[in-house]
Amino acid sequence: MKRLFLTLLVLAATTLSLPAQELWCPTPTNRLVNDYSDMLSADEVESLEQRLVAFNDSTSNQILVIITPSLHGCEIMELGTRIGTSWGVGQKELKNGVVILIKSKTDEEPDGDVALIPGYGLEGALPDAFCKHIIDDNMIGPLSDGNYYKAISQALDIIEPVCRGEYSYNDYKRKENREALFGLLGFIVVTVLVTILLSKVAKKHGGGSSNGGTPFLGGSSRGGYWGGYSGSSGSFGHSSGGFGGFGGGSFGGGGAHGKF
Amino acid sequence: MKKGIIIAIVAAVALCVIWGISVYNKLVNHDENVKEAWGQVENVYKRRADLIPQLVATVQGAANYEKGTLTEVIEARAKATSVQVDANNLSEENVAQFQKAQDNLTGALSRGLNVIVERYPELTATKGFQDLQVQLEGTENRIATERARFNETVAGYNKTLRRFPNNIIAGIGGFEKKGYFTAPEGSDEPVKVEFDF
Repeated sequence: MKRLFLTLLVLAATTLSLPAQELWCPTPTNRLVNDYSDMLSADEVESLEQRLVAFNDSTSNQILVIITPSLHGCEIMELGTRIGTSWGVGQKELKNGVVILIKSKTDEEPDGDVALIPGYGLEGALPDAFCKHIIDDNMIGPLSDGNYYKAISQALDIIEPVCRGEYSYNDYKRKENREALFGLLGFIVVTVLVTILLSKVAKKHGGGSSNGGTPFLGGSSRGGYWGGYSGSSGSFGHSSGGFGGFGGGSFGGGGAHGKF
Repeated sequence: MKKGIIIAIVAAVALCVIWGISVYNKLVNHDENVKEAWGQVENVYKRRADLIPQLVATVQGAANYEKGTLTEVIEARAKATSVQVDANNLSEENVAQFQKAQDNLTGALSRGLNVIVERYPELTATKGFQDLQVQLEGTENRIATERARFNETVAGYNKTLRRFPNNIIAGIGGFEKKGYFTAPEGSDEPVKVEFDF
C-alpha cells in the first residue's frame, strides 16, 4: 500500500514537472511583423506588414519578423526554428516560410542577436552561408546603429527576389488545384463505393446493420483525409486588407545568425 | 432464439476484427511517421559527414599545416558512417549504437575545430573557412532539430503501442518499442559543437 502511494506520488510529481520543461515560444498572432521590443515606430511596423502581406498574396511565401527583448534562455536558432514550425510560417505543401528573429539589446541582456531561418522548402534558395552574408553585410550595421527598420528592409530586398524565384504564386496554385482534384476524385470514389455496398446490403438483408459497419469505417476515414486538404487550402489569404493566416509550413533548423 | 445468439456472436467477432484492423492501421501510420523522421535524421547526419572532407581539404591547404591535426575527426567520421541502422529495426540498442558513433564524431569535431582555430588563425580568417563553419553550424542545428522531432514521433508511437488493449494487436502484428536519442550521462544537454570562438 505504501509502495503504491509512493509510486503515485512520483507519477504526480513527474506529471507536474512536465510543463516546466516546455520550451518557451511566443503565442502565435495573426501578423507577420511582431515587435515586442518597441524598436519600430507604428508607421514602420505598418509599412513592413503591408510589404510582407503583399509578398504573401503575390507569391505565397511567408516571411515572419519577430523582435524580442529576451530569448528566455533559448538558443536563437533553436527558438526561431520552433517559432517557425509552431506558428506554421509558409504553406504546408511548399514549406516556403522564413523567420527573421531579432533579439534586441536591453539593459539586462546587452547582447543583440539576429537570425535568418528558412523553412525546409527555401533551404535551397537560402543556404546557411548565404543567410550569414545577408546578416553580416546588410543587417549587423544598421542594427548596431539601432536602425531596425533599415536592417529588416535591406534584408527583405535580398530575400524577397530569391524566394520569388523559388516559389511563385503559380506554383502554389498549381499544387493547390492538383490536391483539390485529388480530393474530389477520392470523394466520388468513396460515395460510389458506399452507395453500391449499401444497396447490396439492403437487397440481401433488407437493411442488415452488422455488415453495414464496414463500408462506413472506410468512408469516414477517407472523408477525414479529404477534410485535411480542404482545411489547408482555406488558409492562404486572398483578402487584400489583412494577412490571411499562416499556412502550416515547417522548419528543419537551417539558416544562420549573427551577434551585434 | 439460437439464431439470435449466433448472430450476436458473429457481430461481436466482426466488431473485434474491425477494431483490430483500425488499431493495426493506426500503428502502421505511426510506424511510417517514425521511419520518415529517421530518414530525416540520417539525412542531416549524412550532410555533416559530407562536409567533413571539405573541412579537411581546406585545413590541409593551410601554409603551416601539420599532419595529424584532424586524424581524430577523420577516424570518428569513418566510424560514424560505418554504423548504419535499418529503418525497419529501430530498436533501443540500434538507436543507442548509432547515437554513440555520431556523438563521438561531434566530440571529435568540436575538439578539432578548437585546434584549428588555435593553430591556424590566418586560415580561420578566410571567407572560405568561415562559410564552411557556418555550414557546419547549420548542420548541427539541423541535427538537433531532427533528433528532437524523431524523439517526439517515437514517443507517439511507443505510447500508442504500449497502451492497453492496443498492445495485444501490437503483439500480434509484431510491432516493437523503438529507441530514443538520449542526452549523455551526467548532462541534460546533447553533445554539441561550440562555434563561439
